Amino acid sequence: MLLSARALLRCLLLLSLTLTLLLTLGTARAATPVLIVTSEEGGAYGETIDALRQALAGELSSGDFTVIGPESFADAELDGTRIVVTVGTQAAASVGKRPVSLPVLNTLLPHDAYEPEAGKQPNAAIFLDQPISRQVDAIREALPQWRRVAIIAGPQTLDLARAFQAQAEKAGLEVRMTAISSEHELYHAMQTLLAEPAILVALPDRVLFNSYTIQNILLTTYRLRSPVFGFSPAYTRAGALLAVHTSPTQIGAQAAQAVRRALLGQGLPRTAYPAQFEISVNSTVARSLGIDLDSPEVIADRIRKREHKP
Amino acid sequence: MIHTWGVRSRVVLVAVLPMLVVAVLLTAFYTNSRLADFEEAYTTRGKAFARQLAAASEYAVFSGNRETLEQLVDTTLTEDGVLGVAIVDRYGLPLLTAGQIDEQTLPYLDHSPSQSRQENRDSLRVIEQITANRVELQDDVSEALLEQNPYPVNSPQLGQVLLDLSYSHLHARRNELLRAGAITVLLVLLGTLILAIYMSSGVSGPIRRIARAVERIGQGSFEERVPPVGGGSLKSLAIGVNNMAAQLASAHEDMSKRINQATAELRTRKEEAERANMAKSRFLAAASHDLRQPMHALSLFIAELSQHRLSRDASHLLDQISTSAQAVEDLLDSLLDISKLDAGVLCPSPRPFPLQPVFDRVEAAQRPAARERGLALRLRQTAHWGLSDPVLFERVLSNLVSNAVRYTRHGSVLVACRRRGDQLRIEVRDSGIGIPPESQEIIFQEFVQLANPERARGKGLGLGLAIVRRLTDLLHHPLDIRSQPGKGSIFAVTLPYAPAESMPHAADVLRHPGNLHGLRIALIDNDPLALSGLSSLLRSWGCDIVSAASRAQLLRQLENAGQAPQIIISDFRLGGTENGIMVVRAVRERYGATLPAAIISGDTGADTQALVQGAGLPLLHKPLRPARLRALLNRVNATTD
Repeated sequence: MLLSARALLRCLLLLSLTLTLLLTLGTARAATPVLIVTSEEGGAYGETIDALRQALAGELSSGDFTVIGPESFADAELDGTRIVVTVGTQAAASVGKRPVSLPVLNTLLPHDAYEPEAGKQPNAAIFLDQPISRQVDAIREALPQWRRVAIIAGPQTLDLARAFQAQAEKAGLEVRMTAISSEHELYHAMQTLLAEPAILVALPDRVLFNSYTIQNILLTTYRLRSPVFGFSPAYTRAGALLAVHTSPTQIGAQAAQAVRRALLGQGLPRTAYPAQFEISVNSTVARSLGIDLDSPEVIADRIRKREHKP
Repeated sequence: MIHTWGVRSRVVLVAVLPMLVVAVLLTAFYTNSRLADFEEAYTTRGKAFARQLAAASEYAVFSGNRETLEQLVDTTLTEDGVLGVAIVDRYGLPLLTAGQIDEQTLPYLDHSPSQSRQENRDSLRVIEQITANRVELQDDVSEALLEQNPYPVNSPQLGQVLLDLSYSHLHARRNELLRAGAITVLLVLLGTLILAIYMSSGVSGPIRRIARAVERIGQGSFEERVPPVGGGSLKSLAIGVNNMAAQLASAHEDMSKRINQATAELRTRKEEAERANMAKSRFLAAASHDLRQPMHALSLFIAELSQHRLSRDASHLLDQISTSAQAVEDLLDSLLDISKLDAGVLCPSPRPFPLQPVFDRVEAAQRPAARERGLALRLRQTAHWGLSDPVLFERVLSNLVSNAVRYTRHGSVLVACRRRGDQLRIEVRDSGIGIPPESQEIIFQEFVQLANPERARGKGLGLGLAIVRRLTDLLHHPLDIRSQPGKGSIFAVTLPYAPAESMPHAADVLRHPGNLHGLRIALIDNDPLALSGLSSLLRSWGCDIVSAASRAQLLRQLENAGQAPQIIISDFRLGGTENGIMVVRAVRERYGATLPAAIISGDTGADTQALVQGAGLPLLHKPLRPARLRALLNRVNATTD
């Protein structure tokens, strides 16, 4: 009898626990503290999200995160949500369209795509691209004896090019810039700009710099004895001399700090470029062009030192 | 065509045809397949060149580097079969052309993927797009960076490579293959043919041997036998042929025996018939000769007797005797005619002559007989001329009319001539007793008289139509008869028509009994009765006669007379080996070769007639008619005067 009463008790307890768990799970789905809106699953996006969760693993359980696509955000239940993290440009745009009073942190988007006023909500961003100053610093630190920089601007990157020109000239570099409208003008533009060897800066412009043009660009620059400065590891793999970039994992870690602060009620950090970065170098190209390069770590250290100088 | 082929040809055809078909089909198939392979390889090679060139020229086109392009193109041009190369930019404008390439087809703008197509008969054009090489630039960072800027990155077209490949290699290759194929087929055909002929001899050989044996049997070598060859049908065939040959040989032998028997029999019969005929001829000749001699003398005596003054009773009796003698003479004449015709010694001499005088003579001759029987005899006047021997034709007509008159009891006998194209048809119609159809052929045989079983003398001898038939056959004048018993008969003779000649040929009709007074005649006959009869008749006509029984006697008498004779009349048979022709020659030797002469003969034999005619002398038959002799003498007298 006694045994059966205990067994019954145990059963009831188990049932209630299960029910509670089911209920909490049901409500938690709609109202976890962190709502992640991602442009895509996997790839750089998945990496960023994983890094974010990893970094917050001490404070939050996996049940505290909800990951949805940009199209689901318009109807998403936001009760109990304390912060929205967007991953990718599309996710940022989607979230910006719905006016919510929650803090929004935009990650993994380029500087150009960020709209601070979108959605009127308090928001901040961690860009994926590098600040121009860092790129200029990288050029200066990696190739101290090269003074000439060439920039080819496409229709989408004219502003960026001008900013780069200004920054570089401020740093004492000689900048030659030209704007073209299609890839067919590339050869002529390069012939003109690189008449004397200069560092060609590749801007994230798909019209000019894409899978099909990069080989001819690299060949031309090689023949003109000019190195290419890229913006992603793929560029250095393809034949650019060096590139400065931040990995999604680094972005995720930086985002985790911001989320922690926000959850602690310290508000969102300021919109910022990625704090951490990497330098990638193609030593084969360097040898081919006869350029002596320091190791990427050394160059990165020198850049950090320069950035930390007041 | 194949129906006329022999065994060997058929066997060869059966062996060669399937082989040939298989050889042609296989050669065609393999040649075709090899050609297709070669063509495909050739095209693939061209495409490979173009692809290689397109890949190699990517940067040169991107950078507009003509020198590099030239180098590349030159390298390609050195490849076998490459005619020309053109590289065009993305607008289709030519960056470079080299070799033989049709400039007309440029600028060339076609963004379809690489292709090849036949440009003309001699070249294949391969078109390859020059596209930028793709280098993977996607990574996580750039992906995210460029997310807002999804530029649709397609492989940009930089330009195109146009490459013309010559077909001449292909054509040369094709020709080579076709030649090889043709030679193969020919060799196979030749080989098969030789093999087939060799093998067919095994099949056709025995058959040909049998065929040759059959051919020889067909030519009469019945002892020919086919050697036993093979088995089955061939064996049966050989045995059959041998049996057939044996049968044929025995049948042939049998037949030959029978033919020989029949021939021998026929020969015997023929000889018998010939002997009989000879006997008949001899009998006729002998009979007529023997009858003629006394008849000859009799008529001469009657003629002489009529010259004397006689009492009225005696004169009447003489007339009776003369008529009887005349009948016997006619009878002998007819027999003579038949024998002459049978002897074949008559030679017709056809010439154009008027019919009317013949009609007149026949009418004059037959009118007394017709009047006697109370018949109306009418010969319709005619102006036509015919082509025939007038004398023989007159005999034909005369016999027909006399026959008609003889066998018509009452009514009429009508003779009429009608012209039918270039023929004359002369019909003798009578209202006589008619001839039943079954007898219309036998009436032409000798001594046949349908309506005279009692052989009444007044109805003739039954030789008239026999003579007519012999004469018309000799003259080639068709003779036909239409008759029904009781409705009369129509005998018709057809002879060629001849155009009338202006000169009447009938001058000789005017025959006056000339004056024979003083005509010197040498007369010779070994029959004293005949000699005296003839000489007394001639003397009664006023001729001077030197008569003899032999040649020697005659020549002596002529010597004695001291005057040359004006004509010699000699009997043919003079006893011994002497004959009239010898006498004539002897007398002519003495008195000139042109001395007229005549032979009298009681022989009706063909050899006598032939001899006399051969010597160029006129022949008078016994019994001699005084009128005929006188006519001859008149003619001689006229020429000698």
